[in-house]
Amino acid sequence: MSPSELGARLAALVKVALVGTDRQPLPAGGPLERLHREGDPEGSLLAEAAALALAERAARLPPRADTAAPTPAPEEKRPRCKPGAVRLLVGFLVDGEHELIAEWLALAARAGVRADETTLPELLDHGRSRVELRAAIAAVLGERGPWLAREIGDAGWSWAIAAPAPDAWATGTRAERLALLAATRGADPARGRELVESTFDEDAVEERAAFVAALALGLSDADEPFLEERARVDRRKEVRTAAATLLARLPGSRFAARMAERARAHVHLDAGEIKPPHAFDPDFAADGIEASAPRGEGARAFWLRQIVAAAPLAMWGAPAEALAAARRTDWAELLIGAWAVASARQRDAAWAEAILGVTLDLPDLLAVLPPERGEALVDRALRAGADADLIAHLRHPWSEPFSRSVLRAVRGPGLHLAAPRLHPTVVAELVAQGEPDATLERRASMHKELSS
Amino acid sequence: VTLTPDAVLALAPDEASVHAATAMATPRRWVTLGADEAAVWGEIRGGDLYRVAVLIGEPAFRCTCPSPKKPCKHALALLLAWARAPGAFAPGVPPAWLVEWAEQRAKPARAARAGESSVVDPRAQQRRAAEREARIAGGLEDLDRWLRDLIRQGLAAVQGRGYDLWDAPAARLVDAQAPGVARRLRALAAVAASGTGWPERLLERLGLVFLLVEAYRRQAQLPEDLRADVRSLVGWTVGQDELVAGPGVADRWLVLGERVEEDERYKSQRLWLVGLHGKRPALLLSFGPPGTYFDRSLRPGTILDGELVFFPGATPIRALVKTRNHVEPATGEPPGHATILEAQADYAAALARNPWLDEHPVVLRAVVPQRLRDGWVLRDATDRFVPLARRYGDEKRLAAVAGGRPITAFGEWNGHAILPLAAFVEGRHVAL
Repeated sequence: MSPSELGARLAALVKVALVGTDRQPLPAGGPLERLHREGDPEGSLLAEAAALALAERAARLPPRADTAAPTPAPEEKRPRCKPGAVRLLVGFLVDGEHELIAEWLALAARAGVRADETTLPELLDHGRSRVELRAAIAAVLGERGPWLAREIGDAGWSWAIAAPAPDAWATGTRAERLALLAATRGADPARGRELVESTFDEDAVEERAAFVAALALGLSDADEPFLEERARVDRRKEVRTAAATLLARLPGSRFAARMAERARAHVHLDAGEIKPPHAFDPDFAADGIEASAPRGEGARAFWLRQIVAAAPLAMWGAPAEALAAARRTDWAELLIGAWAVASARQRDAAWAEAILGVTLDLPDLLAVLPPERGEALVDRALRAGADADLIAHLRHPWSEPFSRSVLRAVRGPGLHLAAPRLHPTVVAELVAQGEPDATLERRASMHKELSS
Repeated sequence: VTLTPDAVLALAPDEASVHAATAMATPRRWVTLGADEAAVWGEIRGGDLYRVAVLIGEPAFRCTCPSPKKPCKHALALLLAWARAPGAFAPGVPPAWLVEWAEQRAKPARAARAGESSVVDPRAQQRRAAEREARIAGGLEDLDRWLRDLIRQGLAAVQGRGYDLWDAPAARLVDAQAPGVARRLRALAAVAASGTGWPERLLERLGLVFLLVEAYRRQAQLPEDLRADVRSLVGWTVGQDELVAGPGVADRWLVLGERVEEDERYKSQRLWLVGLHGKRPALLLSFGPPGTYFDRSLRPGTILDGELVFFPGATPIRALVKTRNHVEPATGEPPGHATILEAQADYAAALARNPWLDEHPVVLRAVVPQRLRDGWVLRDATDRFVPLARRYGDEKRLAAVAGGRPITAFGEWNGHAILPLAAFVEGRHVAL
């Protein structure tokens, strides 16, 4: 019995079984008729169907592929990390321990090893959402990672594909185009901006907003004309907002000059006179100022806050004096809050430090300071009895002396706040003393497993 | 015996145990610590003062804590501390409680239970067996009638009927003490709802159930091996103590892969082994209620030097460990099939011996994972391919491990698709 005869006979039996032997008789004459029993069509059908199905399963010929076999990945150049390091990374990925993952990546890159192949899909997924970690992840993917990203063709992994083709800008998916833009912008900011400009009129709103936001990498005054003249006047609000956010980081922009002019019109620090705008100027919207205030805040105060936050800080003179003047007015809270936003946007460490000297209510500003300045400031604050939660805002890997200062300030349950960022030497000491903290244990093992 | 910290942590039942054990594996945390050539022991303060011991060679774990996990975090931590710093353990004579436990373990469990069974009246046992035979016969009689009714009325009526349709006759079979047939019947609900092509798949399975009913009725005419299969499929169990007492098969057994499944009724663990010398496949099957922690002393990628004893059957594969000389990390590759065609021929031969064969272990050498139009496959050097089971979800990992090059893959083959469980790449075992 050939496979096709077998299949045809089985199909005939299925047809009868579907409508029932009450309505349709069992067709006679099959090659397995000897399994049939007189006067028992149901049993005969079941027995023959079982035999046919078994025969079909046993005789099935595995099919042949008519496409080319996959392209093999290039030979690896770096050694694979140790099994202990693999297990640690798997644990971090499962638990979503982002700081430990970042540290693992840095240590692996320093040791010159690559991640185990089994962890590549999770690492590539991790880079999908954590753009800031992509370079660190790419450093440990080996040859296999980019190969896998290309082979699987998942758009979320396109950032890992080495050197995107330049023609991807015209033809690629959004992810591929963003990958290309990031790569180009990193090497040659002007060329990157030209890419965005070349298709800006045809691109959809999501692309336009994403591409403008991507210009944050390598942002300079050279981007001002494009941002000011095209992106800021876009039809869609998402794009205008993205442009205004970047322009506020450029104190030399026309945008900043307009904001400075508005700020000067409403804030007279020397005289202690602050008069928020009376009405929403139609020009405000074009510069990304929102009209309707969040609940709990007056509309006029809200407009003023946005203006001050977008104005160049240099216009206020020395930060210490400006802050002192502000505190003599009824508007101190609004002004200091707005300046804090401006310090972060304009990456102005002097202003950030001055504000933190006045108030610790805005600890996010610690991220603007150079690490050693941040550590010195927090150290002083802790000695003066500040809340230990402050250390959570110092997100860089801490120096050894600062780590020891922190240990003096936080004890017992507070240790878990410090554990992810303490200096490795201090971590090793604590673990040797038997400090029962899972993060410390894991960091100590990680440094051991990934030592170069 | 040398054990690396990695090898110790690989015995952990879950990630939480790894963390807990790592934190406790410092000598400072222990009240006492001691060791001789065969065992390490110690005491640690938890909710109480726990006595912990590990027989290193097996390894076997013992702890007085109430944790259901095997091994518990204390036993793991003890072994881990020893692997890291054996110098911290005072060499000495094992305490009395450890000696007592080790002796109890060494005493064959079957001897203890054989003592009990001698109290049982053999006539009463025979009578109970005869009563069960009668109940099974009645249950299968009813099932036979029910199957015929189904075919008479037509399978079209099955669609949209849901689980109730199958649950009623299945419950009847459980009452009749034929749980194996009940399980097969319940599984049909999913087949009936499996989309395009369901009538053919359903008819095939119904045919096999019918075949089982017929075979059980006529078991006297079957060869002994196949009769053992049929009785086990219906629900008779073989006494494991009796079985272990029988002759064993000695080999170096490579643990190829593991599959743990859990549903609302029970949890199961399948450990697939292959004899490196005799090339014989074996399955160590464990069952428990949901949440059970299975023995983790045999891990995929290790070799068990010892004897297995096989359950009787036409394609004997299920086995028990009879003796365990030692366990060591695996090196090299398992024996396997050079082509998919060869593996298919092997499967067909096994199917001819046991038509109810469910999952068949297969080692394919030199296959490349690849995504084709209709999904992921393993492709051999002759360009023939087998699809990966649809419930397998780790295709990207498999592709990453292979890197577009031929690997040795191990998995369960059901005649349609393969469920990958492990790969051997450049001599390295990778669980999938």
